[in-house]
Amino acid sequence: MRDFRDYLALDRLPHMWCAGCGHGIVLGALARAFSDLDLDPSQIVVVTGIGCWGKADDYLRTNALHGTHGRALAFATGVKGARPSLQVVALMGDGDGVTIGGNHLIHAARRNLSITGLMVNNYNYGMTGGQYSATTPYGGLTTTSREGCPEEAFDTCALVAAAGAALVARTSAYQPAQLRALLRQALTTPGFSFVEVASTCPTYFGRFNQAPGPAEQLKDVAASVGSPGIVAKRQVDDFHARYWRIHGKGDEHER
Amino acid sequence: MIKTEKQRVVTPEYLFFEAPRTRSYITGSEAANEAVRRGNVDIAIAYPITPQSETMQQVGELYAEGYLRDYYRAEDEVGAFAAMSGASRTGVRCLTASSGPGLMRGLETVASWPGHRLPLVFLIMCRVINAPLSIQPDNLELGYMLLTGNVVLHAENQQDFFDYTLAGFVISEKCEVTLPVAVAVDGFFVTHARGWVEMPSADLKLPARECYSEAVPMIDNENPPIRIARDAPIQKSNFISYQMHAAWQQEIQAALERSRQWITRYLGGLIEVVNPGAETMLIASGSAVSQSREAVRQAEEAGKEVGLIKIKSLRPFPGEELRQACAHAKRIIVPEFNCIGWLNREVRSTLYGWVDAEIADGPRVCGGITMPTEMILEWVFEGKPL
Ligand SMILES: Cc1ncc(C[n+]2csc(CCOP(=O)(O)OP(=O)(O)O)c2C)c(N)n1
Ligand code: SF4
Repeated sequence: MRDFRDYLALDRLPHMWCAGCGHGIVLGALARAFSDLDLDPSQIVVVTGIGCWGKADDYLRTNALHGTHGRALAFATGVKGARPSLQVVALMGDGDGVTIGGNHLIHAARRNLSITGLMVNNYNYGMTGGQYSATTPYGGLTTTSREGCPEEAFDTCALVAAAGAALVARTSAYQPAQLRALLRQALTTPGFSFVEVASTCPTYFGRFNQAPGPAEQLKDVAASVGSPGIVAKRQVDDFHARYWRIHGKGDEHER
Repeated sequence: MIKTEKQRVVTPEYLFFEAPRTRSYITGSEAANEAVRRGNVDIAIAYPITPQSETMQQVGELYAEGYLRDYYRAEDEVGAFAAMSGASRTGVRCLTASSGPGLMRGLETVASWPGHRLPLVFLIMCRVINAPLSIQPDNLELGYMLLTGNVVLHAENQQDFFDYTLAGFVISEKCEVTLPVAVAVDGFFVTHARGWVEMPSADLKLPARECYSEAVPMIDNENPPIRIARDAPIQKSNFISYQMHAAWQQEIQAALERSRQWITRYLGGLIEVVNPGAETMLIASGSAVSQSREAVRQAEEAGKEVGLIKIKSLRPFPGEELRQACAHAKRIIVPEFNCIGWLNREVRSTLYGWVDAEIADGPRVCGGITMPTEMILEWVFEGKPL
C-alpha cells in the first residue's frame, strides 16, 4: 500500500502558495485519495491549466502536463482519448475551470470521458491579483469590482450536472476528510466526474470579503457551500464504452 | 479501433523514393487524405471549417475503414489543438487541420506546441480571416504562423500537398526536430480542384511513431519541458528563470534549424529555382508559384527570360538559398495571395545588404481573387512602383 507521501514531491517543498492558502489542503486530500486507492503513480496523469492551483502538479510525483489557461480539460481529453487506460485528473481553478475554460467544461461533462475534474473555487483569480471570476458572488469585492461584483455567479455543479456528468460533488477545504472520500469516489466513477472545492484565497478574496485570518475564512467558505456532498450522480456509459460500441469494437481498454 | 492489417510497413526512404508510383487525378483534399492513409496515423482530432472540412470528413472515412486508431471532433479549435497536445505527449502519431478563423482561434495553443516539443502534423487550408466573413482563399493567416516556432511548409499543388503531408510526419518525429509541422495550402484553388498526383501504393505505410527516440520523454514530470515550468526558480523573476526559458526557446529555434536537413532530404530542398540566371526573379510560395510558372512561360514567349524561386519551407526560411539564387538578380517581384505581403517582408529582411536587386512591393491579391498572370507580367514588363 502506498503512503500519500509517495505521491508528493516532498523535495519541492516549501510550496509557492501564500501562507494560509487553501490549495495545500486540497493537494493533501488528493494525494490521500490516490493512496487510498493505491493508484500506480506511473499510470496517473495530472493535467493543469494556469493559476495558483494550476501549480499543484509541481508537487506531485505523477506524470503531468502543464497546459495553457483554461485548457486543462481539453489537454486531458487528448491524453485520455489517446491512452484510455491512464487515470487522468484535471486540476483547475474557478478562473481556469468555469470562466475561460467554461466551454471545455460543459463539453467534458457531455462527452463523459472518464476524467476527474477537480476545481478549486476561491471565488477569484488568485494568480493574477484577485480579479473577479465567474464564481465571484454578486457584490463580491475584488480588484476589478471595487464596489462589488455586478455579475451573478455560476452554480458550477448545477451547470456540470445539467451538461450530463456522471458524478458531481461539492465540498470545501474545511472538510478535507469528506473531500478525500469524494475524490476516491470520483476517481473510480466511469464517465466525467467533477468535484468543486470551495476554498480560501486569504491574500485577495478572503482579505476583501471574509473574516480576518485564514482559519476563520475556512469556516466562511464551508458555510458558503451549504450542504456538501454528492450533487448529482447518474449511471452513464463512459465515452469509450459508447465509442467502441458504435464502432463495433467491444471493450478495447488495453492497447 | 484496431488498425487495418492490410498495409505493409516500409521505411520512409522506400515510400518516398523507391516505391513505384501511379498517377491519379484528384483534389487537394483527396491528396492530403491519401497521405494520411499511408501515414500510419493514430489519432485525428479537429473542428470543422470550410475549406478544411472536406479533408477531415474523408479522414473520418479512413478511420471507419481502419486506417486510423482514433478520430474525434472537438468542441472548438482550442479544444482540438489542446487535445492534440495531450495526445501527442502520450506518444502517438497525431493529425489536425484547420483554416483561417479556426487557426486564429486556436493560435494560443498552436504557439505553445513547439515549446512542448510535440510532433504532429497540422494541415492548414488557407482562408480569409478578416471581416466581412468570407470562405475564400487568402493566406493572410500564414503571416501569424511564421511567428510560432512551428515548421511551416507551403504546398503549391495537389502533388505537394500529398508529399509534404506524408513527409511532415517523418520530419516532425525526427529526434533532432521533435516539433510540429504545419503543411499549408491555399484553400479551394488546391483543396477543391483536381490535379495529377503520383502516389506509392496504398498497401504501404510509414513505420509507427517511435516516441522513445525523440528529443524529450513522454508525459514526464522530471524532464523539460514540464520541469522548466515546475522548478521553483522558474517561478521567480530572476536571472536563472530568464536563462532557462531563453535556453529552451533557443533550443526550439535550433531544432527548427536542424529540420533543414530533413526538409532537404524529403522535399528536395527548401526552394526550387527555375531559370537561375535571369535578371528578373519572381519569388513565391503556394498557389502564387503556379501562377508565376505560367507568367514565366508567357514572358519567355514574349522574348524575356524571367526566373522563379519557389519557396517550399517558410519556417525554417531558406535565407542562404535565397541569397545565392538572387545574387545576380536586378529586379525581384514577390506575387502573393494576401494583402499584407508577409513573404515580401521575409524576402526583404533576408536579402537586405546582400543583393543589389530592387525588390518590388507586390503584386498582391486578396479576398479570394486569383492572380491573373497578366498582373504578374505587368510588374515584369511595366516595372510597377518599387
Ligand atoms: C489565455 C490567458 N489569459 C489570461 C491569463 C492570465 N491568467 C493566469 S492565471 C489566471 C486566473 C487564475 O485564476 P484561477 O483559475 O481561479 O486560479 P487561482 O489562481 O485562483 O488558483 C489568469 C487570468 C493566461 N495565463 N492565459
Ligand atoms: S494568491 Fe490566493 S490563491 Fe494564490 S496562492 Fe495566494 S492565497 Fe492562494
